[in-house]
Amino acid sequence: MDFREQQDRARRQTIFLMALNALLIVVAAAAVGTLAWFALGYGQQAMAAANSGQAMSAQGSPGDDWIGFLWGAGLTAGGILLVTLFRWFTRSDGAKVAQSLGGRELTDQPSGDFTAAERQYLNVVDEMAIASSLPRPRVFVLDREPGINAFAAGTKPENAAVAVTQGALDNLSRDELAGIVAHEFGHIANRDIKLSVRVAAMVFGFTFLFFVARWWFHVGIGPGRRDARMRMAMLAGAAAIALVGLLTVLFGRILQAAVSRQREYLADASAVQFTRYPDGLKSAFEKLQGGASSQVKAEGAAEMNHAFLFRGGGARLFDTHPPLEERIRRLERAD
Amino acid sequence: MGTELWILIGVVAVLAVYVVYVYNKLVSYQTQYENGFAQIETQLKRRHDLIPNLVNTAKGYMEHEKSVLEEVTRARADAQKATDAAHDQPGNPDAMDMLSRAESALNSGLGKLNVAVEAYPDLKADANMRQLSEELATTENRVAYARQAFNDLVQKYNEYRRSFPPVAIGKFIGHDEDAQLLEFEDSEAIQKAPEVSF
Repeated sequence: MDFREQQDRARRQTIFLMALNALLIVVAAAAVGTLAWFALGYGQQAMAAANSGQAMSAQGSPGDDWIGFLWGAGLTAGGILLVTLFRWFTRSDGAKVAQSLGGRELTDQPSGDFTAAERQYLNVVDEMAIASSLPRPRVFVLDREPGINAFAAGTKPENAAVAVTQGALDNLSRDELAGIVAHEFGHIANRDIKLSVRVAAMVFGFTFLFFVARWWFHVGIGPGRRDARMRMAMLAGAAAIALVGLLTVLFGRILQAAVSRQREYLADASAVQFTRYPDGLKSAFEKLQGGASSQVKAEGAAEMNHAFLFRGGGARLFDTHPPLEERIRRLERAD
Repeated sequence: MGTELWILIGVVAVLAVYVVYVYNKLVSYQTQYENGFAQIETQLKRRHDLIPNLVNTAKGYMEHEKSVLEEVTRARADAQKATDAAHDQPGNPDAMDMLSRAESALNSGLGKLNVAVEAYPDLKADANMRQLSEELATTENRVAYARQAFNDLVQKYNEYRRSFPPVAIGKFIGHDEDAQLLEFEDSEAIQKAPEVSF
């Protein structure tokens, strides 16, 4: 399987995962709709019990129940999409992200002041800009980081930034450095930073359900003339919606991590496309496997974990990066 | 009668719009690969500019390999001429052929120079030489990547031009020939990072 097929596969997987995410919205909406349908039926029964004469007629109108489901589902889906929109268009400037992690910019310095390693790094970035037909991003070094790592940031190629740690400059050969820089260019070329913003926005959208649950809860315990059974039903409904919210956020996070892993494979394959030399990146991975550290100590690095070349750790299901062995295995077949 | 005429006019109009569409697309792809060639040219010039510097630095240390230095200098002059010639007609088979031969000769000259340098540890340790060798390494890579991008763009143009219906239309709108890929003889050697390490 060459790198183009690997890219196709990763892109297909991404579409599949995004479709699952959309399905999750439908499932959440249907769940809340069903709850609304129950609630409406229950309310009608309660009312019917209050004025017992009309008991039969109130119970026997399925048309009303159907409308309750539609309202509940429609409002829920609309609400989730609305909350998603809040974060959907978040822009992020790559240089600002790099600076916030302690990055020192090289591209704004006069060319005489570089060490040999920095000059080589800048040259490698220029080479990759040519290979990928992208504009050259702003280039940063994380001076205080002895571990080997790198990241790309910025939602558009025009405001992208690339950063590597001092540890990467000190410990990697030219080919290995070219491999990891090419991987970061892969993220820029595939618009992965924008995608990760959007997937995060979708997960954030599900928090709408918590708003609804809170609202029901407050109505349930709030003032007003209601009988105890009605209050209990409201509280139960609030708990049920909160549970749906919890589950969707959980599944959303699993899907988010799965998307991120596919984009790592895609960026690895793109690195091969740009360099036509898989051994560089592979040998950098092997260095990591051999015990070199990829730790990044800067504050705020944890929430940027998904953006880095190597993972910081965590459980498999929620992991933003595939295991190194699998990445190496695919690179070996990427010729 | 009237209806048939209108149908005929409609069909002709749709066809005309389609031909314009194909033409624009061909021109767009052509412009893209021409820009791709401009990128190669920039990098080749960068390499040509580095060579006098390299030769001068090496001259100070080398005693017996004057002929290698002369060969490199000559190959550089030829390559410069070929680049200028190709500048006017990128994609033209003859121009591409000449360029690829001149650049291959330059590559082989530089290869010999690298072997010769191995015999002079002082030259290898020279700070100026180390910087030059990094510059040369990056320029080699840039040439290789620019060529790769250019060839991808040429291939895109050729594939579209050969597909149907563009292949039927191309003849009448001046796009009836494939553009030429640019290959260097020892392109295998430039594909991987060149071993100019000191």
